[in-house]
Amino acid sequence: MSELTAAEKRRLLRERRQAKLAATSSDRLGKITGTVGSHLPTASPLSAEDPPVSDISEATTPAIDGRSGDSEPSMDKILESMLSQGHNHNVPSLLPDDFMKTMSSILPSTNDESTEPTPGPESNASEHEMQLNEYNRYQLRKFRLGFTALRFVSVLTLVYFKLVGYTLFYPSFERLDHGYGKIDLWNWFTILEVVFSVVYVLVYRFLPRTKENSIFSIIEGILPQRYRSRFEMIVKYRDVIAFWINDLSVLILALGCLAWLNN
Amino acid sequence: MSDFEVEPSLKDIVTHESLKWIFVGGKGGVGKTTTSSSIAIQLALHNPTKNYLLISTDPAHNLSDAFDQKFGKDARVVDGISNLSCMEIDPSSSLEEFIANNGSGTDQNDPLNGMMSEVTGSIPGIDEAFSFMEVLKHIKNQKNEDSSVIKYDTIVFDTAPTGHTLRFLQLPSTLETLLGKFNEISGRLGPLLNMMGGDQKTEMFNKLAEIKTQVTEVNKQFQDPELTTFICVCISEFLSLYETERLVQDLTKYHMDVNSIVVNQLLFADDDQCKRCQSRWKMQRKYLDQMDELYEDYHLVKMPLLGNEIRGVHNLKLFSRFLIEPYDPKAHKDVVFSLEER
Repeated sequence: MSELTAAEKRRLLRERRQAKLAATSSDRLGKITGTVGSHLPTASPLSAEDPPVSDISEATTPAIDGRSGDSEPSMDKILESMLSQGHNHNVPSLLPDDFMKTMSSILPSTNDESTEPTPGPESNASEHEMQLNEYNRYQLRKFRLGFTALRFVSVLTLVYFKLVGYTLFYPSFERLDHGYGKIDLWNWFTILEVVFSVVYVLVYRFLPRTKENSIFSIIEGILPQRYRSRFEMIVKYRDVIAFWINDLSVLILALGCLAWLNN
Repeated sequence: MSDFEVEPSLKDIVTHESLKWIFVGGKGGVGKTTTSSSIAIQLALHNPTKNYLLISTDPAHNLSDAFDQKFGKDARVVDGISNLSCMEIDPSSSLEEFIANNGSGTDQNDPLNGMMSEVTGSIPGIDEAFSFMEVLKHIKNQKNEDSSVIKYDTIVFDTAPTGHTLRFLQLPSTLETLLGKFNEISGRLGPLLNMMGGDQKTEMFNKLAEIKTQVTEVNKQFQDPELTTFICVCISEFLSLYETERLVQDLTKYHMDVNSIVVNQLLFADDDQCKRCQSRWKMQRKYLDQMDELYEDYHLVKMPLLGNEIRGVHNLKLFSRFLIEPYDPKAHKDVVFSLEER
């Protein structure tokens, strides 16, 4: 065999190394840990089966899809999470910036219009997510409709039992001074509303979650830090406040109708 | 089954004319700095007409300690070796400098400025990115026709422990993705950016695009085995061997060439009376045997544990010769205790 030049030797060695690594990469680590046949006595406890693991997903920051424990997240994942932040609050924020939060709530809508959907598991996942969100929204609407109907019926029943048949209802409060104001309609109404609010708050936690309205995210992003927590509380209990206002409207309407009928 | 013997030395690296980049890496505490310094010294001694630069990208710099000479972020010639310069990059100061440069003249309360700092600071491997930027600066200088700038034939990297190093090497592709995304965002938020100081932002994006071009070019060079090589450093112990193997496999995935492995701190205690030394040597031999089996196609260089700290050019020269001329416990016994005390 003729003498090889240094460059040829290097190339040959390189090819040989690559071929070996491609063929036996997992075996090589196994050889070191002693799991794969080696005549050398280097077995290590690392080669033993993994001990049972406990679920720490709730104790630690949940990993983003495709992000393994020790590997770095790819830039795509980071930016994906940045952009989806406004829509999916279950994904942890890698960027605490409030401005990004606001932007992220705007961006995906632009994205949906401008970019072609890419086929594959990711698009399937987002389609499934959309369907799930639609279903949750339907369930929530159904519950709210039933709950509103129940409240309206209760308010009207209250009006019926407390006012209809009595001649002491007048369209103004001018007679309150004469004892007409003693009727406990308002007390009962307040009790009813408190009961409904408590029931709703208790039931709320079992209701399916839907994505927050992006308008709230924008307002939240604009508001100064000190008002933000109050705003979040208002957003959270906005349903209860809306129910109170609706019920009060129904009650006032009923009172108006009665007053008109009595005239 | 080999047709020819693979020399257990780095002679091939020292005589490899076209090499431009040599990375030296491995687990923490295995002697990466000593090895990279020794390699740089041997390169400089064997090729006196060429200029070499040794760069430490490890945030915990040790080059100054190894050479017993103060180095900083600018390349400085090593005392006694005129064709070898060293520098220590400080990634955190480079990051601050970058933010300061790109935020100068703008309002400190500018929310987009804050956002950029947040985004930049939270990028994984950003430290390595700025080490890389420094390297790019040097490449730029190398292309400069200005004769006052020293042109280095080969740059040796003393890298940070494995995880950092892999991120550093992954950086060109990470940066490419990041810059692509930045451009995408800038396109989408064009009008908004203009409202919030568009000119400076456009300038920044242009700078990033320029960096991207350089990064792509360097990435190509890193994957060319005639231009770049990676030398793994380890000690003859289980964890070090395990991590070395993982490093070799990961580097292969990045299409980087690894052809040499330096095993440090070997006791060669066959004829030693010290029981502890014999016991440790027995353990080391066990892993050496494994290495011989795993790395038969690599230059496996076995380096002795010397009797004193390897600091200063004199000691490094003594030690580094074993990278080229394999250590023989009988012939070179005296060298173990011949180091200058510091």
